[in-house]
Amino acid sequence: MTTLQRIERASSRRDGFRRSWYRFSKNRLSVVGLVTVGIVVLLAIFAPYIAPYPKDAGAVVNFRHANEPPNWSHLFGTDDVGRDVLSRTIFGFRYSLMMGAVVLSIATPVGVVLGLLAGYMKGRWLDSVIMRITDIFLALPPLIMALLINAVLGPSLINAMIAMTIMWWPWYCRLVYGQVAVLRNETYVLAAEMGGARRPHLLLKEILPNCISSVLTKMTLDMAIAILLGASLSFVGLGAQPPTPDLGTMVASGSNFLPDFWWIAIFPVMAIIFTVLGFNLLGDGLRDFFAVEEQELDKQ
Amino acid sequence: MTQEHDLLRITDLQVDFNTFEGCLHVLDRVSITARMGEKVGLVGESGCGKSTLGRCIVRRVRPVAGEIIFWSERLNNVEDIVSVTDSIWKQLRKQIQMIFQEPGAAINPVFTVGDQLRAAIRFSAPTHIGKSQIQRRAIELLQEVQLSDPERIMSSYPFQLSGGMQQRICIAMALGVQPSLLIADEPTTALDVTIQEQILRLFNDLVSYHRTAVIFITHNLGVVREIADRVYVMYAGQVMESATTDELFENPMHPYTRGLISAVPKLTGGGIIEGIPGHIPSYLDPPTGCRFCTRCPDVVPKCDEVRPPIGSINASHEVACFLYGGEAS
Amino acid sequence: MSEQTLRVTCLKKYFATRRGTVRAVDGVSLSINRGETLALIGESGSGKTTVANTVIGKYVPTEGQILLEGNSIAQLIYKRPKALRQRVQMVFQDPGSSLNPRRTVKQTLGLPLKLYHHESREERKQRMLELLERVELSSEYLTKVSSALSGGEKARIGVARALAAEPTLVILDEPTSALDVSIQAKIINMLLRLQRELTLSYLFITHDLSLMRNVATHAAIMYLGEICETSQKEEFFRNPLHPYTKMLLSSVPVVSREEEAMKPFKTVLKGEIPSPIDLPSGCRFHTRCPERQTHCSEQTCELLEVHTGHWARCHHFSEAPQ
Repeated sequence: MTTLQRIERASSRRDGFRRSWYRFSKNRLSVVGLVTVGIVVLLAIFAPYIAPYPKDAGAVVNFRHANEPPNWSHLFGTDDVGRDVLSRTIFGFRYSLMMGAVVLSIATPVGVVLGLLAGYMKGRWLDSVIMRITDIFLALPPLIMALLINAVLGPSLINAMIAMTIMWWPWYCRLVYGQVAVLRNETYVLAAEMGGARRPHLLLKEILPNCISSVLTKMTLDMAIAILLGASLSFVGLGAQPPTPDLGTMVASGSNFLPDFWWIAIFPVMAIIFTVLGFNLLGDGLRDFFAVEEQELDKQ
Repeated sequence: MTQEHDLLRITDLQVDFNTFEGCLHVLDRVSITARMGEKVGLVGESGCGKSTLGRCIVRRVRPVAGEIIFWSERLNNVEDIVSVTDSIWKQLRKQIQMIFQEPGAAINPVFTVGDQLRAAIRFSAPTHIGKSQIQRRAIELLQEVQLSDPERIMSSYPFQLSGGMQQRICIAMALGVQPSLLIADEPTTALDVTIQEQILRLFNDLVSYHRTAVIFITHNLGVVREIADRVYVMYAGQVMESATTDELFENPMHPYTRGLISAVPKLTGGGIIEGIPGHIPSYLDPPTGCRFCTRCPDVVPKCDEVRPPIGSINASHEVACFLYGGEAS
Repeated sequence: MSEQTLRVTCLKKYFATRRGTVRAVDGVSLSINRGETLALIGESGSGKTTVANTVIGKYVPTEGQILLEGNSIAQLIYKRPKALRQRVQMVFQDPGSSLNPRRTVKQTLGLPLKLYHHESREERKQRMLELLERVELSSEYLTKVSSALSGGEKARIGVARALAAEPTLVILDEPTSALDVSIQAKIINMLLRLQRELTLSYLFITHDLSLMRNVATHAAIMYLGEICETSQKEEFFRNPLHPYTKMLLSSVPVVSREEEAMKPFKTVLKGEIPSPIDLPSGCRFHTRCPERQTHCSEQTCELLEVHTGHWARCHHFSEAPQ
């Protein structure tokens, strides 16, 4: 399709950002994703100020209001010990986001650095060592491994995060390794090499910047999966422990009261769906955002 | 029907694209015709809108104005491709085939050549036909495109074949449908010169034999000279000049055509002439008149205001330029 | 001006693959004098790119010697790789993919300057502006990102980057094949001007004979890893000897009758280039040759000097055996 019209692009970097934003915002769902994620993040940060009953996030009992269906003073109803479900859900975003953020912010740099190193040392022993270890981790079913690690270390939020981090970095290692394998054959890398550039330059200045976009996109999509996985671990009792207002834990304890007191479980479930959907849409949008600058003219 | 029958008549086609920068006016009142069995060349530099025009004909791009009248032998009727219903388009679709620059991209890599060829034959058959018949027809087609050992080729995967062979298979698949119009978008650009020559000759023989009309889109003037009966020269979304091939190359009239031909490196040597100064204008806000006026050596003041009408020099030569009349209006 | 920039003697480069040994380059000798342009012509698979990659030191030759201004490349790459890379630079085929889309022109040009000429920041800036002027671009291009440039501008930056190292030999790997003719004309004329101004030697890799006619001073035709004809350009076009050369000439699409008249044949070259793993016996071209004789498939033929400075590899010009 090389002869398709290509638009001569304007110059500066800021203009590039605006153009990327245009591509992003042309898909309404991406904007919905961005807004959703924005809301979730804001709710999580300002939970103590937004939640109507911030004290209910902790170990409080208020049997007088137990199992109230949604009403004007408790929009999402109350749970079996009388705590406001809305407040606990808002606090729940904190734990979900924190879980995803902590896991990814450790797993990603580890994976990226190892992937770059392996790609850089391609064909040498270090490459084999890193990639074989990665392969072993990739071959293990992540949820079961996380359960196992968690069971060994004991159930807690921290241990759940440790388990997930251990299971997560290989994916980034693989991703970056694959990218390096492709990018190192790009003519511009060869050209820089011809220009006498040394390996650190090639790796950090020529190759890495071109990997960043796919890593960021994957991170956003992985946030959704990490949140789901974290909730699953909590649901089976291996993550955050009651009375922590973790969404997974809330669903787990709420499910005991289904279907009569449906609101206790359903609202946290909806919160999870809302968050996961938001990150997924945002991730798709980021893919457009980072698309190569020279883009074909859109079909009408 | 006679040779003179217009198979395709595009009138005042206009295409706009909405992008970040704004509305790009990609095609500006383009009119071309192709007669039954005629080989029409569409030549221009990248970004002149020649591929967009091709994509309009197969309804991949929707024009904002203009019509594409197609005479369908099967329906024995003329239809406007721009406005026909989807059900009629479905019938027209088979009569228009397309060949692309990258033959590898047009053939599915996970199926054998035979699978795809047979499928193409099955889809195009007016009535149900038997397996042995399909097989026979497939071998026939491969022989037609001068591929030796058709059985072996049928059982191989596209990546096992060279670019030239892949393009032959694309031609076989396109012609297997027996279309009345074939749109070839730079079909030889990715090939070596010797292979290009083979494919061009083969292509030429086959379309003449099947009496298929061809719209041959290319940036290569030498290639268009070899293949086309008649050539349209496009620049920045406008048709600048059209003439029979010999007439165009012997007697180019539009300043753009002259500049373009002079910029081609000649086998006879003599250095390379920088025929056309400057850059292609922005499609955002192109001149309302002739879009070549920003680079034209013979520009007159009204050029950027008034679009020069297409004037006939003789029966086989039309040019849109004030140098050759068009004083009125 | 007779100083030799490049001298390649009996170069061989074989690659071991799973299906057998690929004899990509099989005994190629060529030389380029200072300020001259040698065009290396051939179909894809003829080995012309492998020759270039061996000259820049990307591949180690299986056999043969490459002398750059009298120094062996094999020794240079071992002892002073930087000196080699500085003397030989390359302009790549696709200007789009040869520039990192996320780097600015300043970063692209700054790299070779920083590496080869340890100049201060100010001097580097000055040099960059000079380079941009040489390739006919204004100073405002320095801050532009590569992905924002047009094809012609990218090609110019590609040339400027090659010149930044101040090389004596520039390898041009089909530098204009991705460009429109009107832009190609400007880039080619710019390259010719730069050659005059800086007395550069060019190794010009192309498949386009019409372009070669207007650019090169000497021509060498490659087929399946061998040179089958080489001479000075004018002689080459006046009197093409090898059947393959004649075939190539005949298949060039041209735009005028005068050019048409230069074509030796009206027929088309049959078949495709054979695999370099499974080379034809005898003369490598015999499978496609229109003037084939019986002994062509049996006996290999040597590159012979048919006229002064005009070499061809064909049995027609050797003493016919039998």
